[in-house]
Amino acid sequence: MKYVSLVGPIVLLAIWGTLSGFGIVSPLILPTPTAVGRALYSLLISKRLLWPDIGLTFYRTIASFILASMIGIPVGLFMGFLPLFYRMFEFLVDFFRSIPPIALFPLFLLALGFGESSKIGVPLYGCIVIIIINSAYGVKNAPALRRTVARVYGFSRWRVFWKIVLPDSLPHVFVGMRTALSLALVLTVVVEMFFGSESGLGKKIYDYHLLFDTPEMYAAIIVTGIIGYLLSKGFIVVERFFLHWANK
Amino acid sequence: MKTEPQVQLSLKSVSKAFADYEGRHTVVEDFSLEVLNQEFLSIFGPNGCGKSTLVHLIAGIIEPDAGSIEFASGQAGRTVGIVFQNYEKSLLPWRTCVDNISLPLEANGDLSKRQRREAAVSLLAELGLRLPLTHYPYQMSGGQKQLTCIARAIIHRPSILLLDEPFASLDYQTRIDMQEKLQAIWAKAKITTIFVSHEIDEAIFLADRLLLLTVRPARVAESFDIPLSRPRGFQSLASSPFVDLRAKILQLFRSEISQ
Repeated sequence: MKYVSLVGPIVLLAIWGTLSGFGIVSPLILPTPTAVGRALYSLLISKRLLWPDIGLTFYRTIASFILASMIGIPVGLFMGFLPLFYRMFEFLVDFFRSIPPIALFPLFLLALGFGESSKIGVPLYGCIVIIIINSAYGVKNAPALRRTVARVYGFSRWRVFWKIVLPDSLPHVFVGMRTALSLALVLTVVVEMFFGSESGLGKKIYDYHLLFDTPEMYAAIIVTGIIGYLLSKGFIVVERFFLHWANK
Repeated sequence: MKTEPQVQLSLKSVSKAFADYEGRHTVVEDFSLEVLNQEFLSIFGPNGCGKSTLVHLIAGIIEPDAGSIEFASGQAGRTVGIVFQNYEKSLLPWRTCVDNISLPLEANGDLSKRQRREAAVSLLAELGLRLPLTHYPYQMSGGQKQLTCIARAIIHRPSILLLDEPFASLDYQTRIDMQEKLQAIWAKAKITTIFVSHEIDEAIFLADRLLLLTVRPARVAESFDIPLSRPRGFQSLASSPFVDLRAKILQLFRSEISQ
């Protein structure tokens, strides 16, 4: 039963191989698995053309995610902890959450120019809103009893915040961060594709598509998928370390 | 050697009302009470009579609308240890047992983490309690968690220990074990204790004195001195003074709730 999780990928490969190998689907749309494998080998190992793009996409995803966390977590925690603050900004957060981040890209281009900052700006914006909402929610939904206990033992309001409210809200903060991390990659790739980027996996996927280099396009898509997969697996490891006590 | 009993805590004409969508409810009205130093006082009464409100008032979680709550040690010396029924939501799940016990010592940041842990370890030794110090709450049993809460409630040597139905979530076997452990802890820590319970046997078994409360708004219907000698073993539950007293209290209780 150890290898049961391989069944899904093998079935997929088999269907893919059948569809492309027998010419049921045009190779322009679906090249064979071996063609994609060769493209992957060439891009990653023999010619190593894709590594700069991998690095850039990875950097943009992580940078926007970390910046969003650094800004969004404190703002969200304070919003949850100070009801007045929450009521003041609740509408704004809800409103900005409703704007698709991509819709703001032209504005970012105007304001920040064609450099890295406008490319990080879009995923940063998308992530911040999610992280703020989840962090605030984590504080508001933490059991009140632990705060009461600390107050009885003479903890000041701010000591209650640091010692009780902050750790109590972490499970929700991490939910927000996990969602934001996947979104950061999505938005980074979209921005790279369509907004005058020179490099990055999104740009490469789009270029291969324009040149009808379909195997290379698939290879770049697969690499993007692997990055997303590794990011979320890595995040789960971090989460287990900090939140081993949660939901038990 | 017998010393003159001192009043540790006194409530004078305390009233408290809460407002909700149905209007204003007086939960505690003109409630007076004196608790003696090192006394174990059980509070027993009908459901929803305001027992927990009393505990919250004494703990300072809520303020009375009228009347006063005075500690022998003065307002500045109003130190309270409190144990709630819900140990899951009362313990900090991200902290080990020992760091949960030492929580009250963090109130003003005077002690280092090491000093706090040493204080917790020596408290447990003093009380003769064995707890898995490095375990997290999710690795502990219900009884162990509630003992952790009790140890936490007395580590800062409060002037009063408040127990609000502490064993209500535990299974019967654990509950009996906890009653004996609490008796031993109280005897060793020599701490004034108010124990709220809706379980008559444990309320009598543990107490020096038992207050029977009326239906809401809570008043003292009757105060019973518990004449059983200490330390009390399990067999004292079958002794005739216990059985007689229990019958008497229950009779009053029944007439109170049927009103």
